[in-house]
Parts: sequence; C-alpha cells; structure tokens
Amino acid sequence: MKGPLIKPLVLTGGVYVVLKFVLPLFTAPLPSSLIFLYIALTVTGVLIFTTLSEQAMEGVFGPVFRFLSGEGVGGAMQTARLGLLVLFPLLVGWQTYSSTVPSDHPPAENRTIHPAPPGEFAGLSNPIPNTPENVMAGKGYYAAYCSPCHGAKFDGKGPAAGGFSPPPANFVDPGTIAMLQESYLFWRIKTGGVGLSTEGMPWKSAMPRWEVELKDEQIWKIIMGEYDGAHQKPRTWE
Amino acid sequence: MKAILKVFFLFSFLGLFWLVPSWAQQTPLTPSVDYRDVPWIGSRNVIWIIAQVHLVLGGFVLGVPIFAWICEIIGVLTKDQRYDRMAKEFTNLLTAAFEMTAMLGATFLFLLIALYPKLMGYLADIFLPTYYVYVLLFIGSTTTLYLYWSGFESMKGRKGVHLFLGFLLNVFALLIVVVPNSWATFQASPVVLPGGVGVWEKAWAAMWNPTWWPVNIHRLIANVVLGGYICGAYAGIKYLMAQNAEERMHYDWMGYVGNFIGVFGLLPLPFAGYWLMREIYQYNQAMGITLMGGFLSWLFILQAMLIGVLFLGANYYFWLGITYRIPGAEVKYKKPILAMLVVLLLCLGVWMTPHSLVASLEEARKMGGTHHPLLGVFGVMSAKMTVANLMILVTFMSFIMYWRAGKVETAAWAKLAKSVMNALLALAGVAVIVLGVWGYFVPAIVRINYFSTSQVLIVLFVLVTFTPLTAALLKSAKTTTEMVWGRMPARAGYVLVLNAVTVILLMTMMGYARSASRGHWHIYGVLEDTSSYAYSPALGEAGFFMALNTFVVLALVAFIFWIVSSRAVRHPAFSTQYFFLAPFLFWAVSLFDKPAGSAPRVSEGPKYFRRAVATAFGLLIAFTYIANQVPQTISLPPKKVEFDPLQIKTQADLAKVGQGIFFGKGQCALCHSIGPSESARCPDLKGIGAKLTREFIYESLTQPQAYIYQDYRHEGVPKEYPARMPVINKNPIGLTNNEIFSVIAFLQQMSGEPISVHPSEITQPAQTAAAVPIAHAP
Repeated sequence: MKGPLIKPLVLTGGVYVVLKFVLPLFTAPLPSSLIFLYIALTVTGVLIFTTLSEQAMEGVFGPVFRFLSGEGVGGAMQTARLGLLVLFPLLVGWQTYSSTVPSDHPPAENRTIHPAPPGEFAGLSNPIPNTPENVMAGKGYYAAYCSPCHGAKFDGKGPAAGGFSPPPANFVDPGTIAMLQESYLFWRIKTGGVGLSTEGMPWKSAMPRWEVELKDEQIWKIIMGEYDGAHQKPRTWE
Repeated sequence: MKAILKVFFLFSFLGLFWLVPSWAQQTPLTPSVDYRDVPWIGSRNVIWIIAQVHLVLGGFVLGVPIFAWICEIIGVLTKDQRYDRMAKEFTNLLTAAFEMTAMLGATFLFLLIALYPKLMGYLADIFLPTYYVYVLLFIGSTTTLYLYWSGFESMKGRKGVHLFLGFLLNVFALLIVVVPNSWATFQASPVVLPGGVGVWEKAWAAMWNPTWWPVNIHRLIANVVLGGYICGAYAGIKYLMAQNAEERMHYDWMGYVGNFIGVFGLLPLPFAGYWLMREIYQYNQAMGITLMGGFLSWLFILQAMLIGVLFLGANYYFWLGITYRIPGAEVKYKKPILAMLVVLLLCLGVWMTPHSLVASLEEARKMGGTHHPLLGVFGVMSAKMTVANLMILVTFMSFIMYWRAGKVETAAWAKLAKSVMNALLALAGVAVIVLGVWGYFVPAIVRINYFSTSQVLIVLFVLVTFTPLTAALLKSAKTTTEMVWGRMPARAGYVLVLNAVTVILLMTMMGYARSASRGHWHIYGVLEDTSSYAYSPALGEAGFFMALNTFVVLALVAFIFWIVSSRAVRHPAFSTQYFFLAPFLFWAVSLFDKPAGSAPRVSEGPKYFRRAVATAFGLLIAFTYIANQVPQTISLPPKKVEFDPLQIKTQADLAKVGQGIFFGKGQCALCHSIGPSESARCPDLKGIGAKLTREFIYESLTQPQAYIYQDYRHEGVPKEYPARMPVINKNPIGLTNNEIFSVIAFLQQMSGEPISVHPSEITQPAQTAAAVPIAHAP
C-alpha cells in the first residue's frame, strides 16, 4: 500500500472531507446526492488519469489486484485481505438492508421549482404602466402583504419565513424571478400554492391565494415593485 | 445492373405504402375508432420502441453516406488509399441498413395507422402532398444509393462522377430527413393553417413551423456524429478482434478517424441544441418551462451526465492516442493532460449540478430549500452555457495537442504563431468565463441575445483560426517521432464502443424529450390525446425504454455489420432484400459440416466481443439505475371538465363553466389573449363582452368568416391577423350550444357587463327539442 496508489486515495478522501466537513463551515451543508455526484466525478478522473499508460496503471491497480487475489501476500496483509473479503459482502448487505428498512425519514424529493404555467396565464403582459408612482404603490402593497414572509429586503428572510419549509422564495437570487416572465409571477401570486399545476407533483407551497384579497391591478403593481426592489429585470423575449 | 433494377422496383413498391394514409383520406370515411390498443405492452410503448429504433437507424443510414462521402473526398485530396477503402467499407453497410430501416419504417407506419387512426387521419389531411414528395425522395435516394455503392468499383477512373453521385445521395438523404421532420415538428409546434387554400399551400404552411429548421439542423449534425461514432465502435470491435498486425493498424486508424469526425460533429451540436430550445421557448413558454424547468428538467441532468461521458471518452481516446501511438510522448504531455482533465471535470461538476437538488427533508431544511445557497448558482443557464463552451475548447485543444504531438515546427514564424495561439486561447477562456459570470447580473434577454451568442462566437473563432494555423505550421514541421498505428490498448476499443452507445442513448433520450414536451397533446394545443396513454411516465420507466431502444438499435447495427462482413453477402443475391435469410441459410448448411469435426478456433476475438457487449450493457444498466434513483413522478393530463347542466343554478355558475371552456376545450386562449399580448395571433378579447352583443358573439363563433376584424395595432393599413378562426360548433373543437352560451356568459362577466344569458336557456338533458340558438331579447 504505497507508491502511486496513495495519491488517488488521498485525493478522493480529501475531496470528500472538503465537501462534507470543510464546506459547511462557510455555507449550508451539501445534500448527499451532490456529494455522491462530485465523488463519482473525482473517481472517474482518477480512473482516466491512471489508465493513460501501462506504467501508471500497473502502479495503481497492480497492488490492488495482488492484494485481492492474495498473490504474494502474507502475514498481516493476508489477515487484512481475509477480513476485507468477509466485510465487503456484509457491507453490501447492510447497505441493502438500510435502504429498504422502513424508516420515519421522509424520502428525498425532487421538487419542480418552476412548473409550466397554465395556458390562461402564459402570454399575459403587465397592463399597468411602469411609472414611479405605480412601482411605489407596488412596494407599498408588497410591504403590507408579502414582506412578512419574503422579507423587506426581497431576500426571502421575512420575520415569518422560518416557519415554512420550503422557505419563501428569495427574489434577489438570479435563479428566481429574473428567470421568469411577469405573467408567471402573476399566476403564482394570484392562485397561490393551491393553484399550482398537476405537473411535477408533489407540491408544497404555503403561498396564499391572493386573488381572494387583491385585485389584479394590485398584483401587477406588486410584481413591478418586486422587480424594482430586488434589482432584477423580468425575462422578456424581444 | 439487373439487381439494381430489382431493388429499385422493390423500393418503389415499398414507397407506395406511404400512400396508404392518403387513400384513407380520399375515401371520406371517418375512422370507426380513435385508438386501438395492443394487449400487455400497450400501443404507446409499441410505437415508442418502433419509432425510436426506426429513427435512430434512419439517422445511421443518413449519417453514413455523409461520413463515407467526406472520407472519399479526403481520400481524393490526400491521395491516401485508406480513406477510399474505408468509404467503400461503410457504403457496403448501407444496402442492408437501408432495407432494415425501410422495413421498420413500414412497420411503424402500419402500427400508427392501426393504433392511432385519429391522429393519422388528421395529419394526412394536412400533409397529403408531402407524402407524394416523400415517395419520390425515397426512390431518388434508393437509386443514388445503389449507384453510389456499385460505382465504387465501376467508376474508379471517374471519381468526379462518383463524388457527384455521393453528393446527390446526400441531398436526397437530407431531404428525406427534412420532410418527415416537418410532420413531427408540426405536432410539437403547430402553426395556424389558413383555410380555403389549396392542399399544397396548406402543407407548405404547416411545414414552416417554428421548430422545423432548428430540428433539421440539429438532426443533420447529430447524424454525422452518429455516423462517426458508429464507425469508431465498429473499428474498435474489429481492432479488438483483429488477427494480424495489418488489420490492427487499419482498424486503429479507422477508430481514430471515426472519433475525429464524431468529435467535430459534437462541437457545434450544443449550439444547435441551444437554438432549438430558444425557438421552443419563443413558440410556447409553457412548453419551454416543462422541458427546462418543469417535469422534464431531470432529463437534461441525465443528458449532462451522458454528454460528460462522451466528452471524457473522446478526450480519453485522444490522450490514449498520444501516449500509445507516439512513443516517448507520455512524459512530455502528462502535465497538460492532467490540467485538461481537471478543467473538464470541474466543468462537468458545474454542468451536472441541478437547479433544484434531490435532498431529504433534513438536508433541505439545512440548505433552506432545495436550492443550495452557494452551489445553487451553478443550476442556471448562464453557468451551463459557460462550462459547455469551456469543455468544447478543452476538447478542441486535446485534438490540437494530438495533432502536433511528435512533430517539431520548423517555420520561422512558428514561435510567434504559437505564442499568439496561446494568448488567444487564454483570452478566449477568460472571456467566456467573464461573460458567464456577468450573465448573472444582466436581464435574461441581454444574456440570451448577446452574452451566450458571444460565448459561442468566441469559441467558434478559436476553432476556425486554430485549425488552419496549425495546419500551416505542421506543413513544414519535422516529424521527430513517427506515429505508430496498432499499438492502442484494449480499453481504447471499449471507449469507442462506449461513446457509440452514449450517442445512441442520447438520441433516444432527446427523442423522448421532444415527444414528451407535447404533454397530453398529439398536436400541441390542437389535437388532444384522449387515450389512456395521455400521461407522461416517470423518469425510471422512460429511462428503461430509452435503454431498451438503444439496445435494440445496437443489436440491429451489430447484426448488419455481422452479415455484411460474413461470407454470406459476397453472393450478390444477399445484397438485396434476402439478406436477412443469409445467416440462417449458412447456419443450416453448416450443420452438415459439423460431424466432419473442425478444430476449435483459437481466437481471443469472442472474448473481446463479449467484453465490448458487457461495456455497452454496463452503461445502459447504470443509466437505467440512475434514472430510477431520481424521485419518480408521472405527469397526468389535466382533469376533464364535463358540462353538467344540472349543476348550473346561477349566471355566475355559467360564467365559471365558460371560463373553463374558454381556456380548455374551446382552445380560445391558444390564439386569443385577454389584454394586450406580444404573441397574440388574433384579436385581443379584453372587454369584448361589453363591445359586442351576445348575438354578434354567437355569430362570430359559429360563422367566423361573416365579418372579419382586422389588425389595427400597427401604423399604416390594417392587415388581417395571421390566424384564421375555426367554426367553433364544428369539429375539431365542436362546442355545443350550451357550452357556447357559457363562454358568452364568461366573456360578458370578464368585461364587467351584466350577463345576459340565463341558466334557463341551457338545454337540460331531458329536453330533446332543439335549442333556439339566439334568444331575440327585446
């Protein structure tokens, strides 16, 4: 267990440690699906680089094959080898068991963030002229109706935000309203969580159905206020 | 020549089958059923398999002539006999592959007519003239194919004529893709057809739908890639099974050329795909979102993985080539290879990071949603475009490095040229990254129209300046180490196989994406799928079918290769429609030889073949597994709203039902908007209920041509709207009087007008008397 084999092992281990333990010191921890993806990429890279020439391949895979086949392995290594040969099936068995045993953890989910809007909303355009007064009015409505959850800074961190999972959308993030047309926001505000399309269920959204309380005109003004406050521009096609 | 005639007639006859729908159309019998089902497997799945296998094999049949023709040209230009030999070797495949594809096509057609009569009737009504054109193209393609194939020997002295034949063949082949593409793209992005025009104008208008040319270009390039990679896989397997040094050299070289052509086709492919996606978004925002952000978005993560395999595979093959074919180059190129590998992997990491992550509840809580605060930025288009461009640059540099390996430039300006190239490359890389990062801070439209296109142009600029520059440099270069063919390790052969499998899998996957983006529509927004298969399956099931289809295609291609390279087809009769029988006949004959006792062949070949098959299987199984690991959701068609007169008590009820019909069954919103809209194809209906009386609205719906409102939105002479209003109480929409009344109620309510339709006017089921269409209110 020395020579060229060490480097790839250290590299893969290092990447894992960084992703799993170092990164969370600075930001939110990564989900295990993403860590798995990055480790898989690292291993692929190692495999590609070490199989580029016979010498490199022998250096890395030679010891592994010899260890596994027991060729010229003796003493403590032989014990370790037998131990591994016994442990590995147990490990696989445990993995299978733990992935099928009933548990109280909800399964991982794949939430479609931006489902397609229904036909009656696609293609609408904002009928309210974009004047400073209207934007101000929109920000006023935003402060009254939206900011408790979506935050006064449009960053999804309002006082009530902590109570929701998934949390309220962060409009400052370039991946949210900057990717969408105004008609999309109009749909989301007007019909709320219950109005989401059947496509890409399951839905979890606590967004209220604002059509009950607000007029269309108010909603359009809120949209203008939101874009202005979050320093984003709605997506357009021309 | 006699054989050619026979085949010609055979194909003319086969071509006649394409007329079948037109016969069905000429006899104005409405089909007795809308759908028929196939027990156990289901009609949708049967069509799925046959259509996809037919289309990918079609891509192969159309990709190989392009490939062979390019090889022949290179052969003429470089006077390298190997290219000519390879072009011939591949053209030999075509006759068998063509038959196979035509048979599958006929099966596909019969199945469609049998299982989906409603859809086929509708399409035949629009596209009838193109069916005739298609038959002619088919005959033209067949004829030129056989002339080109047989001409390899007979036109040896007249290369110009032969190349021209090859050109004609490719023109026919291209048109054969282009015409059916118009049918398929019309299903995804139908345009409003003008009424009262001739059949030819109607078909022509339907062909020019927004996604027709983007799909054509995308398919054309993808076919070249497929041709290249299948050539590579064939060479890879032949290389592994080679018996002597000469064969090893030839197939090693052929694998290199296949990979080269595949990679060069691959480089512009993302740009073509981007254009197609853009057109789809512009055509229908909802469809674009379904694909990229909604139900189908996971397909694109899987696509990223497969393209990652392809890019890594192509580069790995180049790098293996440097280390094995050029003795002593290994040490020299180790560092640049490592650097390129790291860049590729980083790019892939970004590309594969999804916008919304698969996370358990706990993980999602910690991240604050399924969107990681830091890595979430990789999920958007700006990041993906940037890394795709960088990966293309790296792959291109791999090729340049391979090209220059083992040679020393002697030109006086070599040093200058090299430093210019290095500076240019660094500059291009930095520019692509800067544009990518900047893309987060500008409106989407600026990013799409200017930044992304600039990134593409920068990369293309590098491609078109480096290639001739390097060629010029190497013209005078001194070769220090001669390239040695036939020394590649076995894994190079497996990589070639893996790449071919990946390309086919990608084609089956994107074919599914294109088809599934229509949702529960046969023809988007026009003809609804009302069968029990209108839903879209979960990714795991879809992934299984993609893998299955890929496997079937591979098996058929392997079968074609086997037949062509076995002794059987040396007999002229087996080069035509009987070729399927050949292996069985020879097997039957060989039964009698057995007792004589032949020595068992000692060959490593079968072992390598089994391993190559295992490689292919491994990838397909891994793909299916990953597709099943993603949380599974299916997409159901929206619930049907039945018009129930008993439920209608008040005028508000009526308007509510009318709203559902306006946006649903009536399909009004497909063209009309309520309020001004950029994409409206006909008049804005805002306030229409206040402007028009109910009698006028009723007449507009049932006799739409009686009075036509023109487009006054722009300066100058008012013009007609592009869309032509269909008669609403006739097929295909066919609203009943009750439904029309409720729509009128909705239009009035929407315009703030008192509703003048009363629930008592609704015909109750018990009443059999015909309703008076218009109540003449005093």
